Amino acid sequence: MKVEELPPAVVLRCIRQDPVAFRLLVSRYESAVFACVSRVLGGVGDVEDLAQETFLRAFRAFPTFDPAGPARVSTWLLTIATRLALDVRRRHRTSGAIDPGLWAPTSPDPEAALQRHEERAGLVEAIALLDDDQRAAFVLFTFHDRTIAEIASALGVQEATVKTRLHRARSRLRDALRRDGATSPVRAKDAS
Amino acid sequence: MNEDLSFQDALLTADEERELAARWSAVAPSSDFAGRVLDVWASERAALAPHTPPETPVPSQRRWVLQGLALAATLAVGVGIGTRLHMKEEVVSSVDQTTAQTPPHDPANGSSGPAPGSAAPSARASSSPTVLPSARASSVAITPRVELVAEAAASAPEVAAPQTRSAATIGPVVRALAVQAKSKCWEPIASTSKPERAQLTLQLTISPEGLVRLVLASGATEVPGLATCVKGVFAGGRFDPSREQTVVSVPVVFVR
Repeated sequence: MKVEELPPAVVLRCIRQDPVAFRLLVSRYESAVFACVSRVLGGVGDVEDLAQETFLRAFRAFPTFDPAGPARVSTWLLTIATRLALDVRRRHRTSGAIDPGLWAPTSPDPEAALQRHEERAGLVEAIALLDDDQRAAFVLFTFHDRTIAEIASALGVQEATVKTRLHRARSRLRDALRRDGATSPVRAKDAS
Repeated sequence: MNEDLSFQDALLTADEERELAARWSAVAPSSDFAGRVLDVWASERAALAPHTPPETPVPSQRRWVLQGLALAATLAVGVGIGTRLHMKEEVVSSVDQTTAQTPPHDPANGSSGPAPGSAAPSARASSSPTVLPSARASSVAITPRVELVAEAAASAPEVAAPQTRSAATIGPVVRALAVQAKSKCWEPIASTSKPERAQLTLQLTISPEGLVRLVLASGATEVPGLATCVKGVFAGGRFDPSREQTVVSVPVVFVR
């Protein structure tokens, strides 16, 4: 999802907390923020509430935004959105709202059980099986065209860590896609 | 973009990326999302701004009488709600509570490290703190602020309704709703997920007939489901009729 950045003059007005500029900001980035939040959340929590909170936090923090800094406004917003969504997922998990069977199979050999589960899983399950960090890195890289450096900064980890997470996420999803491709009615219809 | 990727062994093809995007569907913003966000922002700013005097000047003697009546009404409501309710002076600074919990340069909750593009941390307070009276009923603190949105007089119902609503008339209803929200929303959540505290700001749009037309909530994202539940409780509120639509900003704090 490519989003055209706001003109510098509008960013400066946002820093001065101008409501008109804020409206432009929301209109420009709302689709990207909703997409990011909903994909990282993965069905837990209220997407609109979190998107709203993303923009409200940005409004409050805008006076500290450095327009001459390395970050684009879009990356800054997606950073806020991703961290909020990850935080909600962590809280859901600790409260048992996310089915632990999907991400932590109970078995004498959890690794082997996870591998067997992955081998059977379709794409939807493969997405659900991504751990939170892999999910966030993958969403930012694939759907929002963020660079490795930007993702590392957003998630507060080293670039090498981001690459590892991306590699694992893409391997899982690619395999699931290819498994699904053999049986997917959409693919079968397309092929015919 | 993404040119710094040094490993290529797990890249998805363009077709695979398209299929993935289609099947890992994203939620689209609802209509006028921007308007609602800005409404919440405006009400948040209004709630944090210092009290301003009414537009029409009130003679000082009459103002004292009105303040005395309002205080008496509030005290009477406090006694009516329960013995555990007591008046309290709550300091609300212009630094909002949610942002104050995290460094100002890192608006995303619970994460460390400076946010990209941000400057060194700086104080966000732009004006001196204001002192607001609030009522705290065991674990609920409410500070209703009233902002009136004028409507055409022609649309007002032909009833002997008061000219406008005030905090004194809205406060009791809001307090009763907050107590309901505490028992229906906060206590069940607090009994399972152990949050110590949650703060959210509600914006209620009340029709001239006294029905709640719209409830917006911000904050308390760290407590899943709380904002949605509280919005549901406040949506059922019934207020006195008035000649105008009223927008009320209600900060609510739940404390274990």
